[in-house]
Amino acid sequence: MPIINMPEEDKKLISQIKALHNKFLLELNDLEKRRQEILAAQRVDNTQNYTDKNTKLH
Amino acid sequence: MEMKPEKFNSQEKPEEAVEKIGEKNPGEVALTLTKEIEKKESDFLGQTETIIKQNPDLPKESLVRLSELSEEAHQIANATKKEILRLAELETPPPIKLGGTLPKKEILEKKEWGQEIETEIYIPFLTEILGDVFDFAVKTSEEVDKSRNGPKVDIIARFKKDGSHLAIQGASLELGEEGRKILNEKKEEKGERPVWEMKKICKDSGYSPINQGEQVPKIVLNFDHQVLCDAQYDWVRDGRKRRWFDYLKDRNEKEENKYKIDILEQMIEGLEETIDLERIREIYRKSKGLKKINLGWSEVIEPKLEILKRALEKCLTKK
Repeated sequence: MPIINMPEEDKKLISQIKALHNKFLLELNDLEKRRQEILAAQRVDNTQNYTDKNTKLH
Repeated sequence: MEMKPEKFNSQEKPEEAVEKIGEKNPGEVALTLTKEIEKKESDFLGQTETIIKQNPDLPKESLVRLSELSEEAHQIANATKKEILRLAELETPPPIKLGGTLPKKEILEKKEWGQEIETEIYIPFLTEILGDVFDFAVKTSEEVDKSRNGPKVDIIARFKKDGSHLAIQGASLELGEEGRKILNEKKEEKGERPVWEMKKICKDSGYSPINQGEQVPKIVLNFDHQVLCDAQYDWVRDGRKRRWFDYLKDRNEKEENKYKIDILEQMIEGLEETIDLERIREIYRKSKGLKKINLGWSEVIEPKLEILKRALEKCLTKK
């Protein structure tokens, strides 16, 4: 259906659908950040353990 | 790995949003985006699995937290998909009963009527010259001969321009080639009462209650499932256009939901009086070359009424 003929209701509906999709992407993005934080914290722990072990050896 | 949201926000004007996705209708947009959501969800879950496999030394606490994130992603994806499908009316709506006589419906309207059916509502609007009334018809375009439900029926209710109901003017068959031939033969028979009170088959042309030979302007509403997805405009005195259903909605609200019920009740009553089921049955039987046919009221009319009820329900209650 050409846009010019698309009823306002449909346009609003598409707008709402796109907004929901966009919200999902943002939420998924947030999850991804949290996942990276878990991995980063783990890397810090590993580094700390490695450092502690080496310190003790000396 | 960061996922960039599209350059779109809820504050964006609907027109701009539509332009970005070309000529798709809400249903198509919803399907496209739900598929995309499924893909992104799947990617996210897959990435978590890979991370876990590649990091066998991860402590239990981290594994639990990663699993929780995956579960959260799954839930968000499901909720979003559900909401999108609900908005686009792609979810199966609960069955609606009309006077307790409708068979329970558990499948989508479109499936029920066949995938290739193009269901439309025709509302020819009549000018003041034609009596301040316009017609409301529901019809399908599938050839009757291919239909398992038998003849297609137009429900044509006449409304005054102020939205008040006038009468069920009549209903017409949308016949297949064979059905048309039979009907023409019938019409030529002297003294034969037409199958329908209306004396012409109204397909792609308008119908005037004053002069039946005269064509009148008509606007076609695409009727996708139970959703009205195009606009009908009615002229108002100062020349502006107004959606017909907006008028009905306004009035329905003023009359505390009674108007919608009245319309349906009057249409059902009018149809029961107008439609000669025996005659439909006979034409259909002959067109099929059958000796007997089991074709009831419910197969012919009630699916139409259900579509109509859903359309009215949606249009009159939409905020």
